[in-house]
Amino acid sequence: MSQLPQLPTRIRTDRMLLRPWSLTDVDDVLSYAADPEWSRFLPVPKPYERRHAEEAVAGWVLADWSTEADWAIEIAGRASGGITLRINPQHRNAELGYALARRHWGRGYMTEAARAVIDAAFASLPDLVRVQAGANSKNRASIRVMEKLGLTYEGTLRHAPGSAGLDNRQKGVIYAMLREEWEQSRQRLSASRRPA
Amino acid sequence: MHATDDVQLPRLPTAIRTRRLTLRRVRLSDMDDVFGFASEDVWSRLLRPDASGPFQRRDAERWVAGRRLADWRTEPTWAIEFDGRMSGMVGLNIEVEHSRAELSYALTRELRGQGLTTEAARAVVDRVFLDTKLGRVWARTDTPNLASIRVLEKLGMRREAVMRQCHVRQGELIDLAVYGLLRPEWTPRALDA
Repeated sequence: MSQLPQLPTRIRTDRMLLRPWSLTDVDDVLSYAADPEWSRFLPVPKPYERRHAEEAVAGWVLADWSTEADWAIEIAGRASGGITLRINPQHRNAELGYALARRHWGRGYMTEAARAVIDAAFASLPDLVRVQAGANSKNRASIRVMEKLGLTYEGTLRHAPGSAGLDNRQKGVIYAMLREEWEQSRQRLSASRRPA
Repeated sequence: MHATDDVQLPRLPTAIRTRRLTLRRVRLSDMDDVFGFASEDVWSRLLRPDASGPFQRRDAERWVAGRRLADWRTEPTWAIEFDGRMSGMVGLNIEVEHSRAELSYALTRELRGQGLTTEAARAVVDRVFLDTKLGRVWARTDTPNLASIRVLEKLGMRREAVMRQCHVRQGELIDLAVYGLLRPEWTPRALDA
């Protein structure tokens, strides 16, 4: 990209604050990441121990935001998940990754947070043309988020037979939103909000 | 559980013979041939995926050196030798923990249209399924690159996804197609070569 990306480090949504990770978030991360149901489809160590939480948070704190933006999802004052946007400036695309503590599942939090990140990405990175996300084909909750976000299904990469267990963590289903689709969705949104 | 440590790394042959070609390890002396391909788009992309600007002799040298140092068990690269000259390459990027290998290939322009790329790539795919326990061979290609898509189709690969506007080539946004072949779908046709 010709200009340096300038993503906002703090994003406020109706119910959440997305903000940079802090080393003091380790206890909060451990409280949800040790839950095997939470990590079923995530490439994290199992069992998830304190040192894993420390390493993860340290990595997010050190991330270079011009290629990897890592927001903590803060709900009611606690870090309750994370959103990552990996930016490939050469090819003008970005990959979205997300995870939310199980206690907050089923209330649309993840969609709300991810939508705020997608909006911020297209609005603040003028050269960005594509945001993509992926999930294991059995991860229905994650696929539901991508569909609610309005991402377009692009295909399913098949896993090697016999790599069961491991392939739970492989991304199979690919979804993406192009800038033109983002602009169309914004136009529809503003049209629907216009008074009759 | 991380199984990577327990899994035996594959050992693929460094020399493979097909009906018309010899596949062998890249040699430092291939550098002149590799530099000769550099003006061809596909090659300059392959040899220098992240760089821009004119291709230098140094870039060819770095590619050859990198192939020589790469771990053969996870990143084998075969030079395609035709008529005594290094004329192309076939490479794999093996991820044992995911039981898969990504295939890449290139052939010098003057030899295209005779099925030589398919012959070389098929020989490598056969070796993957015969000599390793890997379950999947896959490849990515630009959708405008019809010759490359034809190779993947002739290998029996299935188109799994098209990632729209995924890459920038000379300032243009292009779609990327992902192809895959699973072990049960593979038929060893090159074995009689």
